[in-house]
Amino acid sequence: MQRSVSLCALALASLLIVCALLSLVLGAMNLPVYDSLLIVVDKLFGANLSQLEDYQQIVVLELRLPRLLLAVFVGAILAQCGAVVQGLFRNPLADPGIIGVSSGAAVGAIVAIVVFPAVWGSWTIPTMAFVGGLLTTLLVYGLAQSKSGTSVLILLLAGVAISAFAGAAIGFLSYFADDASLRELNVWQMGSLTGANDANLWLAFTTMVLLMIAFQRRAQALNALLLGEPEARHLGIDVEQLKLQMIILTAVGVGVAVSCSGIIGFVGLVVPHLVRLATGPNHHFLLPLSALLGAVLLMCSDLLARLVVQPAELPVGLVTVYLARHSS
Amino acid sequence: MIRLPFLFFARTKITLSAFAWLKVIVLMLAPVALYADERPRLISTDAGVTELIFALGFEDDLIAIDVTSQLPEGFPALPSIGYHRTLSAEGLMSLNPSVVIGSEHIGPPSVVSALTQAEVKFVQLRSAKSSDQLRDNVLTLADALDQKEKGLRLLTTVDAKLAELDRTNLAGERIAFLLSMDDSKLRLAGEGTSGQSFIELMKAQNVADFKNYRNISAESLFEMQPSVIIVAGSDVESAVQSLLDANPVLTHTPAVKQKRIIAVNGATLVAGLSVSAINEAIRLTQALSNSPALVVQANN
Repeated sequence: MQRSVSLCALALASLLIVCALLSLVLGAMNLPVYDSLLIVVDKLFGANLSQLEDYQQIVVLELRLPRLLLAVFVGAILAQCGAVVQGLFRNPLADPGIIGVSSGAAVGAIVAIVVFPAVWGSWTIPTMAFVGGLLTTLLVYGLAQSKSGTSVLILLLAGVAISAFAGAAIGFLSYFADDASLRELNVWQMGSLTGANDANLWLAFTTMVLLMIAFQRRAQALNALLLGEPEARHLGIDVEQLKLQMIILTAVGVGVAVSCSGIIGFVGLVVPHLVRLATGPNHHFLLPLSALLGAVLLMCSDLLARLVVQPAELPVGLVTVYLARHSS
Repeated sequence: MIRLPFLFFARTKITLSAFAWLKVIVLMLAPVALYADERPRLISTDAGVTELIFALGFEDDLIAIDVTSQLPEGFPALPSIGYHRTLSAEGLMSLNPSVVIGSEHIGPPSVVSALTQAEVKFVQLRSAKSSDQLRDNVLTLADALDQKEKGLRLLTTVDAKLAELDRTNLAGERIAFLLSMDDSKLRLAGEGTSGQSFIELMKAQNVADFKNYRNISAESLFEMQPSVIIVAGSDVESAVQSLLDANPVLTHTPAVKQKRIIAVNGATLVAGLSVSAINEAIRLTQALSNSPALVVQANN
């Protein structure tokens, strides 16, 4: 058991490094390989080793590097949230979207696109998506309350109902939208890492680190929950408290991911599933390994999205769905 | 599930070797390209811009277009740079353009700022909603490419055509402009659409008083009592007949009773007004004023 885990971790970490290097080197523009890598070293340590011209430096440092970092952060967040939600629902087919956060975020985004475009400039859509996701999740959580605490079954059903309701709201708003807004919504829903900049990179990085710490500290409790709620309660775990914390943390995580990069499907569903098949359901290992594999998967997807139809590029959400379908 | 990493490796391996070959070819051609090729390299990110480039006669300098642009039949295929709101900065730069020409909707902002930093020249033309805007765009583009004479020459042609339209206009007519994607749905052009611009070009009045395109019922279209119906579809030959087959109630509108229902080629109108849209408008007004009792079929 221990051995397969460390083997997996080692393999994934090296895969992460290889993919990161490939992402820096490959792209629509054909740049010298060593100089492309050296320019990152230059940037980090203030050295002067690379011989790239100014416009080539922009390609590596301002186009490829931020995207690659955002892919790592968002991929890690989504995969961890997926692992937690699957643990919480004790259902390996659960997805972070099941608590309504993705559909709520989509409603927030379309409200931003159709009703008040550009109130806060380029931050309008991300902010509205985040707020929409969080509010919807709280609504779903509220619906699942009963005298005997939070029912996971009702939580699931409420999530499905609210998602359907959100679909109707999107349909209603898109009827009144003009062609340009419709197209914008359409593209947003397929997800893209193009918008990577300093602000959202720091946001995603901080969220990723905080979530990793918070989830890891609750790994033991999540393991106990796998036995069943009454059993976990008998083991001395405050199950209600745990559920609330997990749902809010997941909503915040997915909300940040969605507002940075739009809706990227299947990472949260497939990644924890694959890790569980390889190393078992122990959350102590499942959570960090999922984060690693999520980062690798999203980074590869983005690399493919950039390469397949160049000089244009595919929305990365389409690539993750394609890869996920082939891997499961 | 174990196929996932293998799939990835297979892909990268192919791309790498393709890249290696590309590199060899580029290196071999580089000196030739450096000295022989001093023509501008244009990228169009908008259907209207592509139209204008062809009208001005710069089509030989065009190196890439967007997904909405249409090339005339027989013109060699060009690489597609995708959709103009979701451009790829690196993709554009890899084509080494001298000028990127698009509308005001070009984006996303992060890509535009990266390209500006890399000193790629941008020309942004507002989408032409009126003939004045079209004239402006002709001059702006010709100026940006240092070909002012060509611009002025095209402008003379455009002005002559507009004067012709003034003579044979459809003032007083109430026109319904239908976008026919699916015959069972009537998609009527409202304010701010290219359908509206087309109607204004003929000096007629639009029956719709809402904004954008909207699906309406056959009953409300009947109630609007249009005196002319224009159907913009991909299949010009059968557009009128299939519309009437699907919505028989329309045969009672003044337009159909007097057989003033016309199909136009939707492709000339997708990107706002253009030179070919003006040609189409002239053709329609002439057909309608010469033979008001005929169902006029488009001839292109």
